[in-house]
Amino acid sequence: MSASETSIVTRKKHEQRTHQVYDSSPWVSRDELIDRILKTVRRLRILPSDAEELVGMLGKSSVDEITKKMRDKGIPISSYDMWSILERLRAEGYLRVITTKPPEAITVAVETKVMTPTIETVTPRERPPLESAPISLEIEGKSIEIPVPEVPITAGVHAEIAGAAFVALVPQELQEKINIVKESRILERYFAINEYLKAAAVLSREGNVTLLSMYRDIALADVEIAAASTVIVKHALHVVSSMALEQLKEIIINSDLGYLVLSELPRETVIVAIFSAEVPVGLMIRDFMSMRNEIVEILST
Amino acid sequence: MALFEVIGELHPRGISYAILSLIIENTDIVYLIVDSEEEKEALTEVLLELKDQYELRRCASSTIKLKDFKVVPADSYYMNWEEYSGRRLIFVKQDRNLRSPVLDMLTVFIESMWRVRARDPVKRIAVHIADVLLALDVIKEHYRHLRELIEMEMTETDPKKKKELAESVKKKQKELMSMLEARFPRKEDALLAYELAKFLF
Repeated sequence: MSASETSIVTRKKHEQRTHQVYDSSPWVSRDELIDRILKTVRRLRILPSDAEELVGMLGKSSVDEITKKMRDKGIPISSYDMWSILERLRAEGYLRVITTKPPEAITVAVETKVMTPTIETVTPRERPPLESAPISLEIEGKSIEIPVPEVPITAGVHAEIAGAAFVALVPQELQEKINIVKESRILERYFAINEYLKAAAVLSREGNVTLLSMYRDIALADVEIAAASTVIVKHALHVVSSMALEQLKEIIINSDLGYLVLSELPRETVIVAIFSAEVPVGLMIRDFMSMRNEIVEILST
Repeated sequence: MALFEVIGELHPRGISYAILSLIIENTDIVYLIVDSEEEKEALTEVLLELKDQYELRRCASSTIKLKDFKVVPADSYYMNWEEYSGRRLIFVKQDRNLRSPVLDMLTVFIESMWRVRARDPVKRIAVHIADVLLALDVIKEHYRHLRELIEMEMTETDPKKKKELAESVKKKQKELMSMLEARFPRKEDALLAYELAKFLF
């Protein structure tokens, strides 16, 4: 199988999983399954009635459909979380995948950018022409004019880097992985299910390349966001490691108008998301971490 | 790759799950997803032989019909997964851990074939499973009668009648197991047929 086919399979596998329809083993009783679900998702603190409803949806609804239903009930859960829970129950033999639901078109208006340099294009300043007025000297009553030799103009630092050339600095393998992330439509899915998500971007750790970004209803200056975010993550990583706090999960910056959430990704990259201020914080963290985990899965392969 | 190596890859439980899907699924055709072309070929060989053996020996009035199947390698499935939407899928490896006493029993049998490196294992597996399925046709009406008795016992309120019904259930169960044990030299096979009957009828 060629490399491109492998990447298509990876992408399709990723797409397929939230359309899977799980069903319980015909030999497992309803009560046993409900009990098992409640133990598995203890962290989410779902009610027995919610677990019952979940069991009722098995065999009929896809992962996405179950997630939507649970979110409507106010349970902060993402498709990725739901898929992880169902997969755990599958590994334990309580559930199996019986079919898939056809994919629905994602209708969400977002602006996408892929692989853009975030360094500002610096155009050289126009230098004023050098005044080379001759120096006048008076020696022994004679006036002599010494012409000033022509000074060569040294070129200023030219920071303009062509987009294509800059993208070439991104390793080929990383570019391919980012393309898989984009084609898997991970970000779009989160934009579609979370109306509070306003922007999400994957950046290089130096903050000089926006590998992938999406915006909704807001205009962002890539340069400022990228530079600030990467510096914050770099410092947070340093603090976490020097205080032996193990792995950095996410950094949340709370402001009057919204939240900026940041985290580290493999292959020297960083993820940044902006949520509007009305977002329930639990839901924001679940969606951000799920989005991050999905991207990590692809970047880590 | 030799059949035993492929069975090793799929695990006897994977083969059992594939066989079970042909017996219990409520659909005309099942799509079995495996990892590779070798696994596809080996599994197709086992399942085709099972279908052939069963079709050769089943009586015309039999209600048990093995489902048609198509084995698909995983890469090919994922490349075109949208086309399989709504179809009955069997992920042989991922779902082989399904909690099921029938699957446990089938696995024990296939594992025994695998461990002793039996001669002509495909045919032996097929003939044996076909025998179990043929036995189901014989016990079908007996099992239905047993189920009626069990339901009557559960709903009965008069203690005296309830006790009588419980005894009848016990007697019928014994009779059924004796019938099955007479057909199979191994008790495990009789139990397998009984468990399948419980699920199917």
